[in-house]
Amino acid sequence: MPDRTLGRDGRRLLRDGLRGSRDPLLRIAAWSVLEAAPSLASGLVVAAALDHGFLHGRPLTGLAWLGLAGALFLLRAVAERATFPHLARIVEPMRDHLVRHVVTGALRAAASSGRTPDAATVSRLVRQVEVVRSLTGALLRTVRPLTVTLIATVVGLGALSPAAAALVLPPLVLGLAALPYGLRGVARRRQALILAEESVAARAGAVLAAGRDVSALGADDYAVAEVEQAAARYVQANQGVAIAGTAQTLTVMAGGYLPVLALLAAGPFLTARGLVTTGSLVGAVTYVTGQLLPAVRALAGTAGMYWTQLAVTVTRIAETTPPGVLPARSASPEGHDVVIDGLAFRYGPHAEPVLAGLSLTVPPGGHLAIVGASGIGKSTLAGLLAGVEEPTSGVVRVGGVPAGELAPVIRGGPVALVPQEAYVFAGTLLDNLRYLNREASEAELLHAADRLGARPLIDRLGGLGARLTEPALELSSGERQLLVLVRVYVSRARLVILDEATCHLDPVAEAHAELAFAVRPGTLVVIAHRIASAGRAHTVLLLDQSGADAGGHAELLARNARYAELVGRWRPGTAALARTSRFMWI
Amino acid sequence: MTMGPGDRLLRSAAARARGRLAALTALLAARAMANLATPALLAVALSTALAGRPAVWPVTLLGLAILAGAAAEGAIALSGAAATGASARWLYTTTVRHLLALGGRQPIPPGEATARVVQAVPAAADLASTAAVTAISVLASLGALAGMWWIDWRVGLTFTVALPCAVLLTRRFVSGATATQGGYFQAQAEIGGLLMGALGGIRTIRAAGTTDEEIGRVLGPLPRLAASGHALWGLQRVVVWQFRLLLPLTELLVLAVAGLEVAAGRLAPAQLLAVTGYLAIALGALEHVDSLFELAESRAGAGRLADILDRPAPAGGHRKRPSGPGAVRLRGVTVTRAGQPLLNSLDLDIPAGAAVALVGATGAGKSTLTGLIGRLSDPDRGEVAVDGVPVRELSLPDLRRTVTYAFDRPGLLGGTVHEAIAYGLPDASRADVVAAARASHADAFIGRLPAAYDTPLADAPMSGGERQRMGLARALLRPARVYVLDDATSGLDTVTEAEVAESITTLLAGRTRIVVAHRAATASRCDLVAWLDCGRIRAVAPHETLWADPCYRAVFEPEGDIHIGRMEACDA
Repeated sequence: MPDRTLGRDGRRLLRDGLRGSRDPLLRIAAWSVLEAAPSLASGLVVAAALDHGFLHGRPLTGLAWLGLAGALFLLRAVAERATFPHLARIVEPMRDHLVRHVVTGALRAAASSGRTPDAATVSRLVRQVEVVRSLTGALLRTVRPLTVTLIATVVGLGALSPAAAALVLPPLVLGLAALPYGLRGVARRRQALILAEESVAARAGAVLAAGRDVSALGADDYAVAEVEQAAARYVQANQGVAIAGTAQTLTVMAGGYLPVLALLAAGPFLTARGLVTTGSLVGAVTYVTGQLLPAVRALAGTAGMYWTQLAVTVTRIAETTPPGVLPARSASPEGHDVVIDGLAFRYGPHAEPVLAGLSLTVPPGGHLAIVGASGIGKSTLAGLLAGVEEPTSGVVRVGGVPAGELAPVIRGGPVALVPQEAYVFAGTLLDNLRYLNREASEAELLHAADRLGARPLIDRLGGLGARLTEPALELSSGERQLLVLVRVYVSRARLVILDEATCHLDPVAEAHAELAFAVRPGTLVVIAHRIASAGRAHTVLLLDQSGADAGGHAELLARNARYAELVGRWRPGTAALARTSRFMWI
Repeated sequence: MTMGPGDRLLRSAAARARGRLAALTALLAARAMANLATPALLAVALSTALAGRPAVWPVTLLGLAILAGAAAEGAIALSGAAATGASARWLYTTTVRHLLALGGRQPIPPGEATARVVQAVPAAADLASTAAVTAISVLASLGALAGMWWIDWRVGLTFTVALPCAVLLTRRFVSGATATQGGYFQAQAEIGGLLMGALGGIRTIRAAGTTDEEIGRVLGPLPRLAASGHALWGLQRVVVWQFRLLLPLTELLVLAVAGLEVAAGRLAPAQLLAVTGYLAIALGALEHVDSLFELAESRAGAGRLADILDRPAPAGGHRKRPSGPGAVRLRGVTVTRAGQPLLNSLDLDIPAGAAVALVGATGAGKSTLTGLIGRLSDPDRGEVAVDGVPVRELSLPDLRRTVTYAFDRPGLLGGTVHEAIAYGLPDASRADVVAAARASHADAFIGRLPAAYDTPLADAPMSGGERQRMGLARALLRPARVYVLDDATSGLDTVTEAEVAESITTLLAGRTRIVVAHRAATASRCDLVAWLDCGRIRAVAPHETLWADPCYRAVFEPEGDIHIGRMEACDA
């Protein structure tokens, strides 16, 4: 078999998947010896049954020979039956390994880069892993007996008639030698097929994920046409594989049919010279047509296809999901004051700096609001404070420890970052709410829910034991944000960073939630979605194109024109409105 | 086998490849005939050889039959792929189109729907050609049986008795396999859905350091998957073992009878070879366990697609869009969610050409209400009309030209930034796209991207606010009568939002705008505010007028616990 189709990564993945399969493999190999018996004996039995039995007026002897063959067939059936549990012991753990590999790789890569892969991941998981599973099973079920049959047949044929064997072997070897060349072409086409298949999945996934937008824009036809284009390329690639596969016919012609024709053409000569008896010529042809031909055909056709497809698919899985390594972060300091010192950040060497030389201290128990125009770098700063982004220069220290070295919150770390996209997963409410603190009691959870105004929601869903099957459809964005807030509230985090985490709540609910967090022990940083958030904070950090400015709300309002503008724009400046306004800072 | 919805779908898919399937069937038949001729020719050639005569003609004929078989073989692979391809293409487009048409009405989340389509379509597309291969090989088996009867009736009779047992076995297998395979698919799709969900929440996972916990959770259904997998092997084992026992016994029985016929002088030794040849062909059909397995898989896959397709998609009406100015009317509109009325006999009139803010607490049903106008969902009761024409009666393309949307979290599609804004409008010029981007204030940040409007979308990471401005530009590019801006500027800071609002007002002057608003400033910029409360419209008036009502102010103005108490009093 050509190994070039199986890349290095693929080979490693396959080997790891087969780890622990030595015992079942050895057992299968042992059973295979028994399975070879009928192939080995088939021609010999026919020859003997004819020569010593049916052609010599001794039908009982002939039947006895056939009875022997029957016993061997029975043996083969028993042997094959015995291999199934062992096949399952190889194939199923291997599939488990691949599923684990793909899931781990996808999540770790996304977690370390912060980028989410497209729906092609789902395609890989579902289809490619399944392809490998069924192919490994099929290969073990076909190639193994085929190899056994080929060897046994050649041995049996040699024992029956060396002259016949001499005629059969050269074309057989020629045909088998041609096999790898054909397979290589098939492998190339298969690679193209897999890429085409992934692209169909990616297109369909993207279109379906944005289905609401597609409908609302009336772009259904356009979106479907995009999917159809990808499907058409997939169909074309499929055709390419079929074309490449036809080359295998040569192997079948040379390895399977040429020996038959050679035997038949040389038959008169061999029998005339007394080199073969009637029975052994029939037996030899039986070996070739009954055993060799089907074996060569299966090897060149199905088995070759199976192998190239398996090799290409495994390699593709391995290439696209490298095992991700997550940095080990384990520091958990006592304090939770935040010291930002000369912090700078840019996304790339040529990109505009998002932050340049920012310094600020937030004391323990402080409440900081970060305000500024969209895209100015507020979320980036949140990421830097939580240690998930690496600063270009400067440092953020939480409790004296650089943020990047802090343990994650579920392992005793002090920081919880709550992004805008509320992550609520399928499972019970309890599981969701205990996500950051597994020891949280139900009483604690309900207390937090009361404080945050999430109790009616929990009651409506049927209490903490309620199960969500599809949170994105069962809950609104605001409801998901409420649940996430409860989850963070009961966590052990002493520095909570709300990165527009309340943007889908109405202003009342938002204020309620922020005030609850403000009285919770610890430091609070709010990336303000609405300017009202700034009014509730001790300190306001304004990020602006012209630079950063920090201070109390009233202080900033008095001295920073940009800030005044931000606040002013928020409340339309009609006299009537100004009179009735009840913002905390006015 | 009963005819399920999945089978009907498979029939429709096969109908798309009718011509190719016919070609495939013809080729399969040609190969079967070549294969059937081979044992007979072989016997003649061998008899001649055994008689010590040079067998030129029989060997030549045999060679030709072999060549014909090989040629047919190659052509079969090609036409099989073509037939499968045509069905796959149809299935992909049909299911994706239907899922899009269902929109929010479909119960399966997008991740799982994608997984279902990607996994089930190839299997289902294969069915017709697999069925053709199986059918022809059954016919070839019958031909081989006839061959045996023709050579020697006793041989034929022996085989005929053994055959029905095998058929009984295969029937039992298929029904069991479909159920188990369904369980396997289910577990597999669950893992896919969980993975997509976790990837969607990757920022949370990343910050919380819960990656390994998430991996464990996504892999939760894995033991169930493995159990179904083992069950499938167990099923296969029973069947294969029975076949392996049945086949040789049948074969030997036939050979023994043939051997006795040779001993009795009624059969030439070479004909014994023809008998074994026909035996192989006859049993070949029964050895197609794997293809039966594939058929079971295809049916299970098709069943899962049919689940999607059986849900009726909303049909558009036949009326053209009215020539009115874009007045929207809702009458007695009721929408029920989880048994609770979300919108309750709601009436609302939105005057043509006005900018109307829709204000209400989180979860009050603002997005649901606006979704009804463009039929993103349909009300349980009541009627929604634009310019006097019920939206149900409008043709869908006309409805889309009448009502368009910008969302708070737009899903952006297309290869480049330009394509994302002009999605579904391939004829939109660059100038139009730039104008729309300017109006939504997306032009500036697009200008900073490496290749500006031609930057691939994948290389243009955007903040929530930037995405919103892209979505807004996309809506502004469309010449509609009614524009629904569903919280579409919530990600912008107040200054930017005010600037965007100004340019939208200029651009869309005279066209109806419905603005879902969380901010007082947004509401105050609109001509009118429709205040949604407890499933009904509580008031429609200018923002300044409503502002006198403390309950209205309570929707915007946070004042801690006291205020919450007051708001509850308002609700009661």
